[in-house]
Amino acid sequence: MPQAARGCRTGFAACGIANKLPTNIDQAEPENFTMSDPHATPVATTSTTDHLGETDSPAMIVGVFLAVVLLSAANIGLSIVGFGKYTLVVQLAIGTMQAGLVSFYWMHLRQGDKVVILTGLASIFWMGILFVLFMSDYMTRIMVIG
Amino acid sequence: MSASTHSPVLKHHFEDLGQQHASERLGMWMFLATEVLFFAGLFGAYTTYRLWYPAEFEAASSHLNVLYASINTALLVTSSLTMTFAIRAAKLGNRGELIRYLLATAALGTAFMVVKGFEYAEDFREHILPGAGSFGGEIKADAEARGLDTGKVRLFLCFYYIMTGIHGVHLVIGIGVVLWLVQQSYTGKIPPDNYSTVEVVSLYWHLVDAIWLFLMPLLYLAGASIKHSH
Amino acid sequence: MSIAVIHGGLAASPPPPEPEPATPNYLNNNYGIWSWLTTVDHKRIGILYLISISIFFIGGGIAAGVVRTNLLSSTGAIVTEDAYNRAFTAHGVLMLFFFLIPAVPAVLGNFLIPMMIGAKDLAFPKLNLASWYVFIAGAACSTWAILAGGIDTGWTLYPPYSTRASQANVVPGILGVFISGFSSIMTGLNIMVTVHKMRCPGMTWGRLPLFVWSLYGTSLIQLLGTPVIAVTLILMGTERISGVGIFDPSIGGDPLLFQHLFWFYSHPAVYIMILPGMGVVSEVLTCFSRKNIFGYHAVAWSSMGIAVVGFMLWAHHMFVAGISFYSALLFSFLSMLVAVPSAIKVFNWTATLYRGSITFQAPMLFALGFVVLFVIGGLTGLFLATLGTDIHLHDTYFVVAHFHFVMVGGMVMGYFAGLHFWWPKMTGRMYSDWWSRVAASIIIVGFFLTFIPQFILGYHGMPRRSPNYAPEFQIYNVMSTAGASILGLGYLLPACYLSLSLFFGDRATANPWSATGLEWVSASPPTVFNFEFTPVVVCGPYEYAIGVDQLGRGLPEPPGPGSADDPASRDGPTGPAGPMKKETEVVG
Repeated sequence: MPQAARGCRTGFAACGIANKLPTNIDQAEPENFTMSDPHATPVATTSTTDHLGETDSPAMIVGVFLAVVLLSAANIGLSIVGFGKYTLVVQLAIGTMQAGLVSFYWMHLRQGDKVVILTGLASIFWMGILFVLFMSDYMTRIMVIG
Repeated sequence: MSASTHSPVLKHHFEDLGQQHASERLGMWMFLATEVLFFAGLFGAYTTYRLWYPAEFEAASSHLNVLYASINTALLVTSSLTMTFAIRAAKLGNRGELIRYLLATAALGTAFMVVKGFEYAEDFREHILPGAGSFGGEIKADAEARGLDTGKVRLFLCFYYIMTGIHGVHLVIGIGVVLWLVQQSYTGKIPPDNYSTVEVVSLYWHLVDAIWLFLMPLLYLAGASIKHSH
Repeated sequence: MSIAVIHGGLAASPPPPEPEPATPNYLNNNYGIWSWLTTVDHKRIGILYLISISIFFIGGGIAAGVVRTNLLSSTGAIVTEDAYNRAFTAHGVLMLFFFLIPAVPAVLGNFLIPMMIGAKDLAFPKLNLASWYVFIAGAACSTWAILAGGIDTGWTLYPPYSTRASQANVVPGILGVFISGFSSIMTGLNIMVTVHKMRCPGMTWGRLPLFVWSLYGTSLIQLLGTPVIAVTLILMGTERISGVGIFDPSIGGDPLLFQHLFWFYSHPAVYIMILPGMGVVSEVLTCFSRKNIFGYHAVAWSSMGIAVVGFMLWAHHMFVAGISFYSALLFSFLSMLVAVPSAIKVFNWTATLYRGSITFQAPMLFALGFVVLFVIGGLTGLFLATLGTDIHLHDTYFVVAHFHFVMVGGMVMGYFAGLHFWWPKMTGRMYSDWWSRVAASIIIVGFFLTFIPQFILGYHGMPRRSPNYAPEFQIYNVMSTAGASILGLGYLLPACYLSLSLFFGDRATANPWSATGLEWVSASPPTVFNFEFTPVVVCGPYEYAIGVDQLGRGLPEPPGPGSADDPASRDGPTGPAGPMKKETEVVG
């Protein structure tokens, strides 16, 4: 993460900090528009589509749709058949796959913004904390000490 | 004073549109994290009781209408499809298509709530209710016949109404926001530069969809293998 | 006036010229109440929060006064038992939800975070304003519930009493808490996105002030914990209104489930309260000892550690409630684990102070008070985290003393330290140095007198939330109430001199404490967009020893007597050429 000035371990002067300092701050040439008047300094606009990123292809969107619908059908069908005590696990696994497809493709996690992915994973992790520690109480209450 | 040359949708505290879009997206994802934790409390509570009372929960679940739930699942997943196409239309600057997809999304969401309305009406008629006085009908008779604790069956119904109800509230809010997007788009406030407004709403919509994809099997399919003669 | 500081062997930059007073600054660029109520300026919103939470602090303080006065007599001196229940509930609800949780994040965080990272505003200014309105709406709801008869369940709202038996205004009370929870989420979300996306050039994560790190951790907790109490209050409210619910034992429900859900948020909530205070302490201790923080990365990561691990300890509030023994073992172990990052911070603060050039202005007194009182409070928490001793101490005054040490001795001290430290920046005025030191001293003395007797009371078994007690406890209760009066006087003093400073205080310079952060670059009070130019950060946040601020410019002369032992002269064993040489390395 830290960029240019990272290696500044040998002291102030060796840093080259002096080179970065504007000699007179009040007249420093701002790289972007000044804080006080956002309209003052014209800046070359970025191209209108730079920030748009890639556009989803219809094939991808429909493909994910079909996958999710098929998984739902499978979920309903399998539940009617029944897996005994593994039914719940299978249902949740199918739900997880569906949520995974939706979030990876439709919610654009595929685009790879690290902080966004971290946010998504963090929410699952915290949900995990809740579940695991709840279960640590509820599943062990019948266990007798010693 | 020179004319401003930045995009009209750029907000002044941001340096450029990329930063603005990235911030909006991150902000919505963080809000989604709060929603995940919100429902996690409900799911956690449900899970503890389901692991404690599997027989009662499966028996109770078997009386819910899987057909309505399946239709609703199809409606909601399709609405997510149209919502994703709406983002695409916004990015390509296709305003008519954007509005059509947004209206389709809102319509499908509304259809979900209408089906839910019919479902609740049927539940009321059949006394599939958690209150001490209102609980009755076939679900009660069936539980008693199997030697199950009717209290725990009513506990399941508490979860059924609370979880589907809260999900429904979220969906209604989503429909409202989608209709607001239609109005915004109609008045020209969603040029391609501002597609991220549609995207953040779609993120919320997809989450509501994803929650339903977990809610449905947990509530409706728990007892699907139990057959009743209606 | 501004003396160039000469270091052995290294040429320092001259101190920057004093910036022109900002005209207009954020306070006077727009007049009228409407301009304040529709502002999206994060600084004004911080001031709005400041005024609001001060009102609730007074309300919670009055409730505390009722509680302590009633405890003067062993049979209840002034109120009935039912009224006593409503008084301590009001004290808890007002102080926790409407003062402590918003105090530093919403007041100081809103005001300072954009300035500390070199941004013009938070990421979502309108959301920021909305968060204040939501806070007011929720607070109004709960306040109405308290004033119109009160809530008698305790702030912890346990069913089945709260869902069945209580005749009090429980639903409006919890509705208010529910609504203000959204305010907390909005503030946390805003701060997190701002810190991720809006740092100025050169402001890497490794150069963030520790205040920002700790508020980031706080915001993480606010974001992830608050939704759980939101859903819990809905579940409890629906059970109360409809008569049937998931906590009802008669249908197989478990009242402990409420406690699990409630404490899943409410324990991390105490970290929402304390972490920002820790951030303030890091800022104040470095400035008033003129030293770099010892172990920047350790302190930064310990904020994150507290935020994460703090989510895994909640059932230590439930050890005697009926949870399984194995679960209690696990939570006890995890509770001790969270003491580690807290201790890391305390050790690092102490090491920061060591061989520093310390001056004792009010912010420093409050910050030092924080460290001492937090250590005592934290250590006593270990007795409560240990299963065996907790059986004896749970629900006694030992618990009350413990959490008041960390909440009041810790957090309120931290809040006051921050308020005093940044007051010149926020208002452009200096307050009376003498009166502020007097106030800090009175508060610390009053605090000890109030709460040390409560440890003794709890150890001897006096239960909490009880209006009556055994007569042999009276002496300690009287001591505690006397201390509370002194504490009240101590809190009254800042209300006076801070308010008076607005009219009669000296005009503050941009950087009266000679601190290094970006927030001190602009004039006091700052201009609307915070900076006259986009800052470019070149070094870490606490380069006091080599005398540079984060823009690489020099520092003005620090306050204090200009004599031979002036901290501004850094020659000798504490100068950069001496044994403390490694403190002069540029971090980041």
